[in-house]
Formats: sequence, structure tokens, C-alpha cells
Amino acid sequence: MVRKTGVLAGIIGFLVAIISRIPIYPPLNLELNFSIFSVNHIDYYFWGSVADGITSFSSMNLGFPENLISIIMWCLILFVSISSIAASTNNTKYAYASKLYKLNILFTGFFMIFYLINAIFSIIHDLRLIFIVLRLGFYSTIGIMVLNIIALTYLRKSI
Amino acid sequence: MNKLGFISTIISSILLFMPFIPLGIYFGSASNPWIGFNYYNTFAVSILTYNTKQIYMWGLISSGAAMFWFEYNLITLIFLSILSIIAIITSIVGTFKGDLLGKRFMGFNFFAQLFMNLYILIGFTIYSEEIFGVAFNLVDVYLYLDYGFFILFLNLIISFIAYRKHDIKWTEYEGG
Repeated sequence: MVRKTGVLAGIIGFLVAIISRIPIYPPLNLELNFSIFSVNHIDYYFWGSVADGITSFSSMNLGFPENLISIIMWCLILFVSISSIAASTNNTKYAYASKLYKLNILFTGFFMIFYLINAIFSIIHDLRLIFIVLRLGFYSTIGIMVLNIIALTYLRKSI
Repeated sequence: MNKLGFISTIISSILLFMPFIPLGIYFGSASNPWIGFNYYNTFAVSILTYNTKQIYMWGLISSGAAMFWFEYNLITLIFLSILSIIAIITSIVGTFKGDLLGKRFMGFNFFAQLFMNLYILIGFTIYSEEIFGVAFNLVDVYLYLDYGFFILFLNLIISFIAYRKHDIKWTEYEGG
């Protein structure tokens, strides 16, 4: 049976990697904004940043080697998305699926620590702002990690 | 189902049909907040960038004007565009065929990717005067490689693994 939690983690991963905003109810300005954290009207995403909802910047478009870190980070979140789905299908062998889930948990943990440190340094003067600064993208990353842990638990129970 | 074959199909399709990968997609437009979609940034999938020319699998953009390979260079059309189309078809068919024919299709996909990679590295040097207007030396082409080539090279590796790992479900036929 397909592990739905793994597939869901993959879909959320793709949303975080590519999408910036999904409107829910535009008249009330209700929308899902997948930014990881937001400081001084600048939203930071996996692919770059947007200032005041207008000007965007992505260091992936810079020259070598300035673009390497952002490209690696973006490729890692894409890898997490693809491997979450690939590991959750029927015909995946136990050993491969287990390794992929563990890798996904490791990478999402790395993302969380990396972006949490970034967010903390941006509000170092008042750390109480941390829950205001962190946005849906960050909580989605935690969600991907939790879903991968649940999928790994189901996988272990299935043998 | 060969998952790596499916990933190879998606990568080939992105390279053949798109000039870039949109990043930071947001929905809604200025006139209608529900309909339309836009993006904040792009990730280039051009294979080579030389001065104002950007080379893609489907054609090239020269000083803002786009041209397909069939109106510019027929050999490149065969080795990049047509081979890409065949690679997409064979990899998608091979992905869902769990028999010996499926493995052959995956093998063809791998060789198509290999030929495309070799054509970019060797063929573009040979036909550089026709395509770029300048005669390249043997290693000049390496200086102008763009993200698209590296994605294509990654696709070559993926297609090789997909070919090697393709499971064949042998069925026993009764009678004669």
C-alpha cells in the first residue's frame, strides 16, 4: 500500500520549493504564503527573497561560485520532495525506502537549523519576535520532517 | 514502474519545452485576484550562453529573438530537438513497461542522452561557425556551458541508473 504520509510530504516539499503564494480569499487578502521567515518586509524563501511583495532576488542567478549554496539548498528540497514520493510507492524495497526516509529527515533537520539560525541572527536584538518572524515555509519544513518520521514508522511496522 | 525513468522523462520534458523554470509562483493578476499566474524569478535552463545567444534544446534566443532549430540549423535539430522527443517517448513507454522491451526502451533513452551530451561538447565545436558565427577551439565550448547542460548531464546519469535498475518481470508461458 502507498504510504500517503510520504506522498503528502513530497507535495508540500514541491509547494515550498516552487510556489510563493496561493490565494485563499483575495477580498480579505487571505493567502498561503510559503516564506520561511520574514524580516523588515522581506520574505525569505528557499529560492530567494521578495521585498515588499514586489522586488525579488535569487542568488541562484548569480555567477559561480556565489550561486552554489542557494542551488544546493534548492536542489536538496527538491530531492526531499522527489524521494519522499519515490520511497512511498508499493514496489520500493524496504532498505531503499528506509534510507531515503532517513536522508529526508536529516536534510529537513538541517534546513530547520540553518534557517532558524538565520532568523535568530536577523532578530538578535529581541528574540521574543521569533514566532512572528517564522512563517509557513518553516512550519511546512517541520511538517515534512514529521510526515517522513511517520512514514518511516509505518514502513517499519509493515515488515 | 521505473521511477528513475519517470524522473528522466520529466527532466527531458522541462529541457525541451521550457526556456526557464519559474520560481516563486503566485496566483492571481492585477485585474482578477483569482485567475492568472505569475512568478517572481526564473532558473535558466539554457545549455550554452555565448554573448547574446542562449542555446536551448528547442532552438536559440539571439538578442531577444527566438528561433527554432528547424529554421536555423538542421543537424542540431536532429541531434537535440528530435532526439529529445524520441528520448521522452521511449523513457515514458519504458517506465511503464516492466518487460524486456521496456528495458530496451530505457537503453535507447540512455543512448539518446549520451548522444545529446556528446553533440553539445563535440558537435557545437565543429559547427560553432554556423551557430555562433565564431570558430571555437576544442575546449572553448566548456567556458560557455550553462545550467541546462548540467541538468542534461544529470539526466544522463539518471537514465543510466534507470536502465541498469530496470526490473524485468519474467512471465511463464504455458503451452507452445
